[in-house]
Amino acid sequence: MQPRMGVRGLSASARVARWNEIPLAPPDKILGIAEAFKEDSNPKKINLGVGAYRNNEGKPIIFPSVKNAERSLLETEVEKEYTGINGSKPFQSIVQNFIFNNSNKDAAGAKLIGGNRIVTAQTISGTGSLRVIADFLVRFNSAKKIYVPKPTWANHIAVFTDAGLDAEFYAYYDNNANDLDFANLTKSLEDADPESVVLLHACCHNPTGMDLTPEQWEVVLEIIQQKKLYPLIDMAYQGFASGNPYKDIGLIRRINQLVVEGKIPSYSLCQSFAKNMGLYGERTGSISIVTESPEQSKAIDSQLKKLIRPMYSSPPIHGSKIVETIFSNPELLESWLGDLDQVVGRLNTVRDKLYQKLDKTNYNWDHLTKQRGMFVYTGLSKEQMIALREKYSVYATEDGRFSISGINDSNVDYLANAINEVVRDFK
Amino acid sequence: MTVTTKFSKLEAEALDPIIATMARYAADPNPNKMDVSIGVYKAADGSSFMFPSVKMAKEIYNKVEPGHNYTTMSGLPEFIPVAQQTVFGDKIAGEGKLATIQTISGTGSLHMAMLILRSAGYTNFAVGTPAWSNYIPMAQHIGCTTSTYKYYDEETKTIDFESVVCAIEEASPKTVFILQTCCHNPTGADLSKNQWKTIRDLTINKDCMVLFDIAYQGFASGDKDEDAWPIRYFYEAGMEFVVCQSFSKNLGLYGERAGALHVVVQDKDSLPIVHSNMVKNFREECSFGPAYGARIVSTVGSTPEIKKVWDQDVAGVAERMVTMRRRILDTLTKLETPGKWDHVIRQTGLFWFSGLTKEQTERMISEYHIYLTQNGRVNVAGLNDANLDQFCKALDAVVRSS
Ligand SMILES: Cc1ncc(COP(=O)(O)O)c(C=O)c1O
Ligand SMILES: Cc1ncc(COP(=O)(O)O)c(C=O)c1O
Repeated sequence: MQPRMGVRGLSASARVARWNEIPLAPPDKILGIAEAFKEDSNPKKINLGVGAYRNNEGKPIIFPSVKNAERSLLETEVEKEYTGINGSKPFQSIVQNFIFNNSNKDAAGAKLIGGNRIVTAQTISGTGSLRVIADFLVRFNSAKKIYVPKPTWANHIAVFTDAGLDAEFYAYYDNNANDLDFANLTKSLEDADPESVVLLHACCHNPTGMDLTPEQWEVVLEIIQQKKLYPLIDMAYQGFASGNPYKDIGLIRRINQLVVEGKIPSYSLCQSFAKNMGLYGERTGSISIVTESPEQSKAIDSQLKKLIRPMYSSPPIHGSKIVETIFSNPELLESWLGDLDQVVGRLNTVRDKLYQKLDKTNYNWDHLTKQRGMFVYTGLSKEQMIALREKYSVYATEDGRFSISGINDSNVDYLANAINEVVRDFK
Repeated sequence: MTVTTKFSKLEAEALDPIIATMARYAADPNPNKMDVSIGVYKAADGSSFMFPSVKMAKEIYNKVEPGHNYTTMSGLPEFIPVAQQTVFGDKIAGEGKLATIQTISGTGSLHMAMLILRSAGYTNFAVGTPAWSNYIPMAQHIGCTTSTYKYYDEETKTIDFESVVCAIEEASPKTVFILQTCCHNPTGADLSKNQWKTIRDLTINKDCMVLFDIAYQGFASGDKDEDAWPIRYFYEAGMEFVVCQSFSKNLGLYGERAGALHVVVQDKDSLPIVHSNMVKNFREECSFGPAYGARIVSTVGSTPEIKKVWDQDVAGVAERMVTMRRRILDTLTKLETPGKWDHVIRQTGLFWFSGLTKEQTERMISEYHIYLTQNGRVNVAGLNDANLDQFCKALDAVVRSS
């Protein structure tokens, strides 16, 4: 008998009832895939579920620039004391200068920085920044509704809803046409409740890989002004569209201009170095709020601190120190830009290879060439995805999204063939 | 601008008092200024301190180059058993009754604990005063209620145990008692084994919950196992409770944010359910915990030679603080400072709850450039051979003239 049974003669059941009000939480889909993949004994199995970069050998990489930055950090670091609640000041100004000032290429952004109209806080990577801004908006924005594209990153809805926002979809993608559904996108934003929050993916939309053109953004920004919507921009893949992080932020530059012109009062940006520096697990990102005035910046800065302190006190420093090291050394910065360009280059090469090997007689694969970022949104049906998994050991989410970096020279033929087969079987 | 403001409800918040104190310290040009406010350990020469065990783990890290991949949503897999073993010991850690996730250090752990407790129906948090300043805002942040009771008696400078007992006896159902396991912040006054026994007896039959906050494990006795005794003692009674663990202090990993939440679940069928909810809550705020600090912890805890060094590191920290406490008492005795000061050696850990009034504290800062927190809390680790006399003389002067 276990000793606890004897304690004061209490039956075990009297003391085990404490947790029984809690229902089982649904598992994360991506994790389920990783587990099923691990158990599959097929030597040809392919995992296209992970949202992290793999090289042509299927291995995770450390960006050489990051490795060098980390080496110098390991040698020079003498303490690990707390950073501020809002994170490290140098990190905050790096983010502002890199993104809003676009390293001296964005005059409007520079004006906003100079006028103390941007408040930046270091957060627990992109997820943490989404959470902090969601909590902030619940407390201080008049409208509690947030419109997110359909489809969007699965955790968006979970994070926003859990914080107390009311998430609703706006049209984004046409699954039949495998293309952006711009007509319905604009229509659903025009029908949106005024003053609501609208989530925009800055580039490399997850999961579709399909972004708006500058002209289309212009139309959307016009609606945002008319309906007084509050833009919340999520930028998790800066650099993955063009290979150049400075080029991927057209939306931010344009919106900065509109803010300077007084046409959009305020917006927020969630940003992460998880993907573009390969710092995934270090949880390095930020939230920036472009405010209406320097006075408001002060208030917002203090409110962010008040919000973050009871959540986790202060953010982790290892990743942000790496970012600081890279940005304070021109050679490392140059090297990082090169690393990123290479990574994106490989993703695009693989995308092309896959496209070439796909059989276009049964299915139009042209959307592949238009998509950008880490994913291919195939348009394959749930049945086809299940068949891919069961017959060919190809693992990916059932919405038909492939993480391109799981594809390499040694499996692209096998994969293309498997896809061609299931397309034929389920025509 | 024609647009109406989006954020009309906003007002600037006052700075956290400790942050305000630190800002004043930073702005003070006096070369002899002294910081004994924030709870960070300093070496005997006053410098920042990197634990030798952490240095060793960093060297291994450097060789292995584990990279920066996403870990798992319950944390770095090799970190979890080390965190469990550190608090519970190897035996309990192997019994399969712990639902554990990696968290954003101790604060993140407390936050996740409050969330899981809230979903289990525990929505009132009982806090003994004075307490770590974040508990009450944390409960309020998630819409829970708080109640307070007196923990420490300023007159006797000891725990008011009668008040603690009374609070437990009279607690409304579904109350969570946040209890610091050792090195109480800010008072340095810890419950004795007998007092823990009484608390266990009182809570075992009651529909309330105990939350152990263990942020300074090892700093009281110098022995991490000894300091975790209350937790293991509650476990042995077959109780269910939660433990919020931080490696900020006992590995000096502050900014790396390494910590864990452990929920003791007696029923094997409930364990995965509880765990899945902890993971879900974490996913909705952070997705993943920070890898680096967790890697350092797991290397320290799973490499026998380094683990030994860590044990010595912690013992060394505790010893230095005992020495400093002794010397404070000796010096004040020699100075014949009015009042009784032996509580400085009765209290444990980083903090000495000096009993200086708010006015005396303010004079320590403005006249003597010695920065302690407003409640008269002194970080003993901020003192060393070079500044101890300066500190004691200032204290003596302030006490004499008030
Ligand atoms: C669109 C989008 N936003 C945010 C994130 C958050 O990533 P992290 O929290 O790792 O920075 C992700 C990650 O996959 C994402 O795809
Ligand atoms: C009593 C107590 N609990 C928890 C914490 C949390 O610390 P951290 O979030 O750095 O682990 C602290 C830190 O000062 C503390 O004093």
